[in-house]
Amino acid sequence: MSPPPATAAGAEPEKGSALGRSERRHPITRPVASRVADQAYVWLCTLAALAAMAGVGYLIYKTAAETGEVWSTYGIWGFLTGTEWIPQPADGQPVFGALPFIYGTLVTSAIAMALAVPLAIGVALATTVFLPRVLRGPVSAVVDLLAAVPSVVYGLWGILVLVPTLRPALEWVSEHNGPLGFLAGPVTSGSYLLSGMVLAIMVLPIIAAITREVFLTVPVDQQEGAYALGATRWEMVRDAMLPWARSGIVGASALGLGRAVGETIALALLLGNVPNVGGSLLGPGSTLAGVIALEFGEAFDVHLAALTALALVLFVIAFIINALARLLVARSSGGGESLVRRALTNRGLAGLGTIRAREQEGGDGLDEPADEPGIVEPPRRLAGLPSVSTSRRVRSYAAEGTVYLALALALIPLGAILYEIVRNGLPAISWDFLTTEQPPDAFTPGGGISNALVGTLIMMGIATAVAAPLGVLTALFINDVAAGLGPGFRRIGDAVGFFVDILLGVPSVVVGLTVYLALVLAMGNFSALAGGIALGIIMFPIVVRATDEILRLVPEAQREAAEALGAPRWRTTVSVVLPAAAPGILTGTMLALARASGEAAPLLFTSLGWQFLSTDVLAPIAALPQLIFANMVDIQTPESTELAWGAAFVLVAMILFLNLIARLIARFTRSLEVR
Amino acid sequence: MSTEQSTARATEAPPGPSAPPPSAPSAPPPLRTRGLGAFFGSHKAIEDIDLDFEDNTVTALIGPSGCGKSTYIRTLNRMHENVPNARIEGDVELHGESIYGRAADPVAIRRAIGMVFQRPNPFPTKSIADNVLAGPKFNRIRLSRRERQDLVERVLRAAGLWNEVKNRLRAPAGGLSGGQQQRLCIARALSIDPDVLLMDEPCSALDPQSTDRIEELIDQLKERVTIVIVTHNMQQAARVSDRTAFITIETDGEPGRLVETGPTSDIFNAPSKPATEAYVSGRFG
Ligand SMILES: Nc1ncnc2c1ncn2[C@@H]1O[C@H](COP(=O)(O)OP(=O)(O)OP(=O)(O)O)[C@@H](O)[C@H]1O
Ligand SMILES: [Mg+2]
Repeated sequence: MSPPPATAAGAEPEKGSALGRSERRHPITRPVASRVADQAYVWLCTLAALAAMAGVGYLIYKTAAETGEVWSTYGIWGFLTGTEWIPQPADGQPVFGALPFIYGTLVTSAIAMALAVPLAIGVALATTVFLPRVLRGPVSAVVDLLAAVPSVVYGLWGILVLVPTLRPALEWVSEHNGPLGFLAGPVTSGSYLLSGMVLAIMVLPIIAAITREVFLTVPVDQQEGAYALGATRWEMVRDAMLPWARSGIVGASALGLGRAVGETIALALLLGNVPNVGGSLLGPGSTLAGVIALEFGEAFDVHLAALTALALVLFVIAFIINALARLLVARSSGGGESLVRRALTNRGLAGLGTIRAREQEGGDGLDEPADEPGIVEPPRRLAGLPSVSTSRRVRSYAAEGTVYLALALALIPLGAILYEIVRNGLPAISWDFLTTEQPPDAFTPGGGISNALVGTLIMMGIATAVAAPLGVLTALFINDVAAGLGPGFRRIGDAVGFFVDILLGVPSVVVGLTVYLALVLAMGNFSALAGGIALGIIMFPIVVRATDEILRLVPEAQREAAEALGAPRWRTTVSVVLPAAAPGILTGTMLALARASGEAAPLLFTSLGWQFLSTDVLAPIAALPQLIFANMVDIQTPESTELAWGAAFVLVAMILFLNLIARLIARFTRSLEVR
Repeated sequence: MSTEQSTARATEAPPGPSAPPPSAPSAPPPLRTRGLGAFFGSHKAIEDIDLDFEDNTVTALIGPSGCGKSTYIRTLNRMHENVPNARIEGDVELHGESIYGRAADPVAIRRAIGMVFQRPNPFPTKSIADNVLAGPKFNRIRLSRRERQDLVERVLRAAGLWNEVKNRLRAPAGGLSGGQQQRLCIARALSIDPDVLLMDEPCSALDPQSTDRIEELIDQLKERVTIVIVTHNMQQAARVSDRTAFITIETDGEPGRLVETGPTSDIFNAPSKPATEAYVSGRFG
């Protein structure tokens, strides 16, 4: 063995003598430069977090300030309970009452949830327990894929495919319904029932995907316990899985409900925009989000203020839903909140398994080992043993049948959407389609989507440039900086986290209107910049939460290894934490981008749209989702619908591509780890 | 490396009574704790521990599970304060200077007092060489290519790992066996030449052969650094340590306290406290 490393100081201490003690070789103080670097890191993260919060605070302030006129003229109660909405009367004062829109929002969301939640649970059960193992992966992949399809595409499909298909059936219902008054009356092309159905189809994949994640966390020993008592598959589900997953299902449903309440485009297209309270479910109505999007273009002064007040109401409703969900989840037993939060944010972040696995290997030894996730198959029954009683068997078969029925009911429309996108969209695609501008009006055949494609890419770039650095720094603030700076800072960190969670639930239409009031009005015109910032605001909380989740998973042992070597805080972050978290952060950012790039609603208020190819970030610009919406909302001609399907195909392909890359990153890094 | 360090010392070390001449009769030991207690929130895990750790000496900390050995050893390089709401009372002195004093900085302290953890924690995706070089890199010690190669070879040899890994220095450290990983962690800790090396059950996750190698290693390293080792293995304590300190919790809910300390042979053969006797003989079985 070679001699140990030579001292820097040179002089070897005398050994073993009390008189000859060694000298200190290293200072106990730190060079100023190193301390400054650490301070800079702390301040950078703090500033990023506070700047993001201040920016959002400013938007909220501008929005709230805009609505002052409404409250002073109509009163809060008067506005909320007013049943009439006459923004531009022939003579006299305009009248603004929010009730029809609140009613429309709640009714459509209620229909959507009533249809979607049971089906989603069925799909989740089928893809975790009941389907043969080989089918589970592919079916849940299709469901995941549909969760990524943007709502404008669901709206397009609803209006062009579902409405004409279901119309005869609905007409039959309205004629033969007898005493069912709520299904009476003439069938209009836009109706609560149809809107609710389309909403249900839209939110089903996300609820199913999260519920499935939650089912996958049911501990193996609980499942084995049920099987060991001789339970059938269904009895295992009923006794072990559902009780454990209850809070997770509540969380997933609340997330779906939040989406449904804030959904703009599909309802603007499908509900008919008639402010109604009560009336037949086969008749038209209007929702908060829908009316904001549809009337924004011609709204000025009080009308604009009233629409902003509606946005505020919508924000409050979404906030209440989120808060209630949190309360319910926190109270219920079983999985508990952290589980649901993990499921919510981990969705699609498949690569996280990696880091979590590593954490278990290299943890600090204080944690208990996590329960092994997985789904247990029931044991084969041996001949000669007493079999399950007939009534139990019948009940189990019935339950299983119901699950398969739910799966079928869910997959048929979902499959139909994918089919229609490909059938109608694919033929439109050509090089010309991608490289020519859109035609001047809905009656001119030909043309393409180059202006929208370029606009979407530019705004995606701006959104990422805004959201990714701010998001990562904010997550570092919450997770690393604030936690390390004492209880006061930790509270600020928690507050920022809470703020981010609120932001996560803000409907995109509200984001759009807010950016219009604070930015577009200040700048004097609609612009790609404003659109990009609005999309960035949608991405930001997703990036923060995804990053935060990943940072939590970086093993403490790794941080400590660096710290024990005398690494300054920023060094530990840059050299150890971020490299370990990078794939996850990248995946999360990609998924956030995929989500934002499909948004049409915020763009109506910010980038507006533009007929021609433009790359000027300070001028209005087109985008794919906005082009699809514009082509459906006014006049539908064969030419305009063809263009819309083509654009939808490109948009969906783009989003799926982003999702695919995100997953590949996750998978690739995992295979590296496992080795 | 050397110039940077000596200039750093010249400018950074506060002058005054805290830096006595090395051979004064009253020279303080490299590491010493005075009335040291540690809290997790309101829970007091250890109390009033006075210990001196001498040059060229391996001190073993023994005691039942939960008595606070890990907590104690983590106060010695200020890792304890990483736990939210954790704090200490009393003091720890490095060569007579308080490491919890106003001027002292935890980053500098950890650079001067190295630590090896119970579970090997190399940076799994970094290469073996980069694991060793992480220490200088984190401390902004600039090395030439040649110095880097020398350093890697020297500390890997010192950790008894060189022959096993010399042909795959660029391979990720995650691919090493547990014993190799732990020796790599020791090499990594040695790369910045600490004054003191803390080891918290460094062999408890390892097989007997790897354990032997690390024990040999400890014996060689004490020439150079003051070593504090926590162990549950009495034979190990007897084999590697010169002095032993026994910490225990007398009644449930109380903090862990130092029962006695002395030369290892005395503690194992002629302990002065019945509690030590009981623990040592029980564990020797
Ligand atoms: N992070 C923590 N938060 C709160 N209490 C803790 C924490 N870590 C340790 N403790 C408590 O401090 C006491 C001492 O724990 P410590 O880990 O130091 O014991 P130990 O002697 O190292 O035990 P072992 O031999 O099992 O490693 C225990 O009561 C433990 O519950
Ligand atoms: Mg311990």
